[in-house]
Amino acid sequence: MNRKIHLLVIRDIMARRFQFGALAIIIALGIAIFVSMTVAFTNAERSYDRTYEATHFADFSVEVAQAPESAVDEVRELANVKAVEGRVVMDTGLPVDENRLVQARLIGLPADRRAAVNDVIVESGRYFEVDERAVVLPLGKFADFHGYESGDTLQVYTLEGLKPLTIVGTVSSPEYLLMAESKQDLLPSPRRFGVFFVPNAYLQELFGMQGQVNEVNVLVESESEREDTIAAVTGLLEPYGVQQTVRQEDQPSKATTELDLESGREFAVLLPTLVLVIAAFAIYIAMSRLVRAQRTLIGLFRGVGYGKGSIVVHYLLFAVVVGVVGGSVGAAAGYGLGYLLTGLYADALAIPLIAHEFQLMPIVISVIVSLAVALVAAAAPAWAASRMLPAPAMRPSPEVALAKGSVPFVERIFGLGRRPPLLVRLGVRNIWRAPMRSLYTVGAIALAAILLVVGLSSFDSMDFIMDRQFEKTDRWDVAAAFWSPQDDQTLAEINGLTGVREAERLYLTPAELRVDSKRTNIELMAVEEDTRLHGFDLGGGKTTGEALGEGGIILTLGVADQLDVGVGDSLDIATEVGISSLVVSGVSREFTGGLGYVSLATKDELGLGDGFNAVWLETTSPSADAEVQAALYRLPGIQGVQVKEDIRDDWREQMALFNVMAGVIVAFCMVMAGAIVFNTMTVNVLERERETATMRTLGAGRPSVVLMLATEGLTFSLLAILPGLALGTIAASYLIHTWSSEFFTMWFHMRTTTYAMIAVVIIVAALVSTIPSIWHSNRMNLAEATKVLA
Amino acid sequence: MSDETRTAGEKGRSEAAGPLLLEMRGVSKIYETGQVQVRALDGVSLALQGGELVVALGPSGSGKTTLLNLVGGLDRPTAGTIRYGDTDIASLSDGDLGRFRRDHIGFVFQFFNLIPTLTARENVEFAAELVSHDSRQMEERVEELLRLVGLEERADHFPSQLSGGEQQRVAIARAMAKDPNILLCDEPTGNLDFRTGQQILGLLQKLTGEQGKTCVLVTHNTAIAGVGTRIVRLRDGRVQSDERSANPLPASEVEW
Repeated sequence: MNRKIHLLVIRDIMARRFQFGALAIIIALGIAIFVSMTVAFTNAERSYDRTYEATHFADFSVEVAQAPESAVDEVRELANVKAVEGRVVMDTGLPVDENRLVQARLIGLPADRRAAVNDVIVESGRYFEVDERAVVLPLGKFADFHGYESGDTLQVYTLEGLKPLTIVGTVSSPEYLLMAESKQDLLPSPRRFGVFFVPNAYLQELFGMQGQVNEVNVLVESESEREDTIAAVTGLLEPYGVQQTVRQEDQPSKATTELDLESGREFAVLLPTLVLVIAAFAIYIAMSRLVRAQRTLIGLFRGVGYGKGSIVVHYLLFAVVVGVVGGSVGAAAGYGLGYLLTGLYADALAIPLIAHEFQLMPIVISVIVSLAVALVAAAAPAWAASRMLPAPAMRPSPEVALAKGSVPFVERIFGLGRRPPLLVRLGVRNIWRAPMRSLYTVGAIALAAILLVVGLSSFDSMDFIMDRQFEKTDRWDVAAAFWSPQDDQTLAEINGLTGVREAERLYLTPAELRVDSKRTNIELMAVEEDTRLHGFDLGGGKTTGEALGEGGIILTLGVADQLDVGVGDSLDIATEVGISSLVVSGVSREFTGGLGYVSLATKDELGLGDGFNAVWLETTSPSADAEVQAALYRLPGIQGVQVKEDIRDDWREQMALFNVMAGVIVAFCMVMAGAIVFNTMTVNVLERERETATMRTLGAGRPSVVLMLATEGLTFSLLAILPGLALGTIAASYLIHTWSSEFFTMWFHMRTTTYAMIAVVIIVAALVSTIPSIWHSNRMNLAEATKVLA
Repeated sequence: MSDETRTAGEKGRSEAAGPLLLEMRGVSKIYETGQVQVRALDGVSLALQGGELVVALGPSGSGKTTLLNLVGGLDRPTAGTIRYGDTDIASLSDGDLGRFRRDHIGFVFQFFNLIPTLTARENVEFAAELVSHDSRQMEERVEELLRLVGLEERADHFPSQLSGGEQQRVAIARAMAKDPNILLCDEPTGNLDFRTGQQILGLLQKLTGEQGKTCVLVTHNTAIAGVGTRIVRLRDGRVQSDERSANPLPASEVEW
């Protein structure tokens, strides 16, 4: 059988290049998202793994008050311990200029060899030399942010005052790919916090810990026996005041990046699936229309002897072209975008060992999926084409194009009074004319609205939550932490500082909460019973004083959810001084997870240190914050000082990046909504070419036709907007809720202006994509078009 | 303009018919398809007068549809003038051509070209709305036309619920809704059975005879030429003959 009819495929596609182009674009969008995100997240995952492997990232770490180095040697002898490293970890202050200090975490590394666990990767300069002392390796991202280079000298606060450290290089660390101070540090920024590696022996000397360590990092032989090893190690270190055991997956940087990857992977499948379902519908509609338009041609093909199989193959070839073009463009664009995203991601997190590896699988999957989507969508129209009988198909009949007329229900309802103008009636009936096509169009536009709500609400919600956090929860202006517990004399001294209106005492200590088999690490904060500088949102009518006064513990929502406990439940709390039981006296709706609050009196009952080791301050004015911060750093024993406005500034800076992402989401959704409306309107207008030409022949002016088509495009978008916004809100609320973790709790929030903006974006996209149809209608040859049969 | 065409044009006039409505002088239309030029009309001169039922006859490719398109302002001539009153419609802009069609021309198509989502009444209303701003007057006009074509009982039916003949009657009512001076019918019986075709021809005779409308009916069916008051034969883009009939056949006597 001659297969020359298949050559017509390319010609037909070229004749309808814009329509097929729009179909290919929708497929390309879906594939591009899938490929780019898959490539980027796989690269990121491999980059992490490579970094973790190269640096012997600890399987778990045990924090102790102070343990002799000999204890580390004993740990090394335990079963399943592959490698162990004991070190000193100290938080202190580091002045970056005359008035500004950052919180510096000094971490000890062996100078005479590389660390067997939690090593670093030298990015610039060199590693320590044997017996080197006052030298430092800051994290590269901190050095870059502040402009430090090898040879520069840093000053850090020690028990003996400021001590100089000379930079010999910059490094990256598996523990600080995300440079978070703790799980509670949700807005890490080198403006406030830095990590510095110092020869361990010198660090011991600086902080009076000669021969002692306060952290033991362990690498195990067998992952499956890790829990037994943890039990053995903590048991061995118990006499030295075990404060916290952190498993690799709970380590702040690892846990956060893993969460990031996990949500990214889900998104990389969910979003393209939705887009490709839309693409399938669009192809089905376009192919059905093509088969109808080529009815007489199909009759001719069948008449001259082409079999059903040839006709099916012929129309499936259209799908193959769309699938291959869309899939290839999408895969190529996605791959490029994926590399770009990998670079951006690696840059943002300063991942040292970037794995830009060629990934064949996303391309293979893309090719298969795009072809499958196109073929499945075109199967029914191709089958319908093959079933046409030659004689009836070739006979031109006006009945072919004659749609069944009816007065839609909605018109009956709204037309009970005065009948709407004819053009409006026409617009409404045109939408009801092909209900499935219209439903698809409305559904697809609604999906674009849903994606916009989901995409933009995350920014709005974060903004809202941050506002809430900074205004209602954190009511302090400046917070400071001390190395060791302080007495009332220090409090009086702080209260006497210029610019301080009021100081509240705090006691911070790491703790582990246990309920049955569930456990989580938190930062326990002992606060004043009548605290003014922290706002609890307890609900249920209980006041902060009542909740704290009962001797119980207030948990943040994230912790309560994780442990599955509520008010009145009991839990065990393990601190440096032992294990006690507490009753949950309140659950506070706060963004930050991983926190538990008790009163200072309860803290004393738990047997924790006397006095306080941190303060919240209210300053007299925002302009006093910097002055207060500088004054606090001059106090002996100060560990770190945070200014709330600085944290807020960091947040705003991060939001600026989010705004770029929001722009990308808006652009993506506009292109998708535009391509969908364009496709439907093109099919609608082509199908009604004769009608439109007749209207114009009768004397209806171009504005009337423009009005009719624009009304149709507008109606599609208006019908889609409300359900889109409503479903988007439900989906976003659910998604945002699922993003909540032990680290933070999220709530859905979206501004009215954002809803309005989405509505405008959808309407604009729909109207703009109607322009080609309007242009076509205005340019048609009326004499010919009035004779068109389908 | 050649003497031959002037003569042909002048020959077309008759004192017995109404006033001169439209006059084509030396009209040519050349279509360029790639490198090939197709001369669809070649120096045609023709005058249309009120109350005429002009049957334009000719085989396929003779230029009859092109003639209809030019008279109806759907296309512009390559050469020559087409005067309607004082206006040369060949020189009008697209917008003005649209207004010309709206105000003066009614179209009846072979495939009826009704808007399928509008009922019979609404199809007629659509055209009436284009020229009337008085809704009461418009409604009366629509009812009157539906009565004229015998479809007052079927007015609320959609085209898909009407037979071919009924659809064409709606199309005629729609064409008349604007009260045009000229009615252009392109093979109006081409898609109808014989009996229904007779009814449509009778209706067109009624409109020209009783209402004084000028109707140009284009067909390749020589059998129906007899219903016209004037028969214009076209061949190869030229007017081969232009004859008047003092006694046109009643539509009921036409057979094909």
